[in-house]
Amino acid sequence: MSFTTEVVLTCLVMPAVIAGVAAFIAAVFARRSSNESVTSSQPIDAELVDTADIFRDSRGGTITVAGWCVAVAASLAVRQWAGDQRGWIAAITDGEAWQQTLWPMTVFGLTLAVTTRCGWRSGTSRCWTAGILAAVAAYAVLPGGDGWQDLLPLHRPWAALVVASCLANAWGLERFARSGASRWCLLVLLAGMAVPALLGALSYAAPAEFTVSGIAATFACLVVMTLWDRFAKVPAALFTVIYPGSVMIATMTTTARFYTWEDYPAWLYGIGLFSPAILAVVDAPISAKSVRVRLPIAATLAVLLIFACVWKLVLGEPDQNW
Amino acid sequence: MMVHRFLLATGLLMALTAGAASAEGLELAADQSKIDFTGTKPDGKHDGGFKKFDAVADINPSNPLDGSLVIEIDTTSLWSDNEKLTNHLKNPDFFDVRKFPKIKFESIEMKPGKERNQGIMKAKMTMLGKTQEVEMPLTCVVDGSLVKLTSDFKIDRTRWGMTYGQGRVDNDVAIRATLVFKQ
Repeated sequence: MSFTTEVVLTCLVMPAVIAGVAAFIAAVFARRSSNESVTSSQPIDAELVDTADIFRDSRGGTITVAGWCVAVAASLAVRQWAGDQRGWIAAITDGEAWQQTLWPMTVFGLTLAVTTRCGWRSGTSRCWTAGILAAVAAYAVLPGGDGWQDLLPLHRPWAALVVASCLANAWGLERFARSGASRWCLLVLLAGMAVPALLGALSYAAPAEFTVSGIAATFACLVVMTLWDRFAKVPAALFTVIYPGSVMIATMTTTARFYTWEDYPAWLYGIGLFSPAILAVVDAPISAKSVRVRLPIAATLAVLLIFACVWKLVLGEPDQNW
Repeated sequence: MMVHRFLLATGLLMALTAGAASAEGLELAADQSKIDFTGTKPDGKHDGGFKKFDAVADINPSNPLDGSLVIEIDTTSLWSDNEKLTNHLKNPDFFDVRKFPKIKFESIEMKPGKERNQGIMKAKMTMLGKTQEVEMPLTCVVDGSLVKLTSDFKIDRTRWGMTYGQGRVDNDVAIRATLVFKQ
């Protein structure tokens, strides 16, 4: 099997199939929950407007997150751990720092998916829990040891950036979902993953492959959501992949920063870390408007942000294929 | 075999003990030495190398075949003909220079070669935390007070666990080393 075929199968097809199957099962669960909720007398939180059903029962969302995490873990296992000559245990427990983010990413995703009903009100336990899990992700992703002495001064600011990125992106993407955009917030997540994947691909291919597996898994959820949406009204539970996706954006951008010897401008990492949150902030004043207004604005801004990065990293550079 | 051994011994003796013979290590002329490599792939190739390395050659004047050569390469000094490739090569996909900042090369046995000034060197090469034996031809030329050792050989990078990109990047890497020592 050629290298390209292997990458396509293990970083695109396999995670897409796993996440897609999980999303399908989740959608079935979500629909059952929705049907049951029609007769429920439980009051709906005022914050949860048109997508209230998906926040009433978190089973569908939790299954989606679990499937998404298994999908990217499977890709990681095949591409990295299986080929490690030290064996599986050493590969899993003593792998590169970015590989260790799988665990906090999964716990962060499942925790937020289970607690979708709680929202982000200041001071809630959900907010604190998310912050602590984001801090664990930051601790996991920052590489340490003798070889990293020159980058130790970057650890504190980047730990803060990882936490801020995880929380801001999860909040921003959830805000899309809660304001009637649950059907396309995954597009925002996909746009947010593009820059970390590109940054990674230019210096260190393995985490870039991991990000690509996240993109494939998210895209599969989006496809299931879109197809299901033609027949039923409750596939929006699948939006919960925004939670592990937010951690992936933060940690893979951080990995790209620590494993490059090139001096990229700060704005590039800013876009890499915060593009979903930026889109959410821009969307906030127009969130009451129809999707025909919101979607083109979000899409245009996302394209501009990605294009700026592509220009800086690829098009504006001398041709350097390798 | 005895003749070969004698000729190599004589050649190396002349080369490495020309001038003031010494049993001490020779001093590496870093500015005239180089360690380069060429990586190939189905649709092309790339050249690279290391800018910083140190080498110590210890010679026993009475029996040059008992001599030893130790080379320590600073992997962070890696360069290539493409800036972005250099970035990629330094990362854990390939040389993982932060975790493994040195490549060490220690000779363990010298055998006579076909020509008078040639030999075959067997050595231990430690890269990515793994030590493997390699065998390479070695040519020794004396030019005034300079002793020039050259060697062209290939290694299979996967023996050291450098497995990334198999199928897209060839496993065999050509290495060209020129070490110039001052006496």
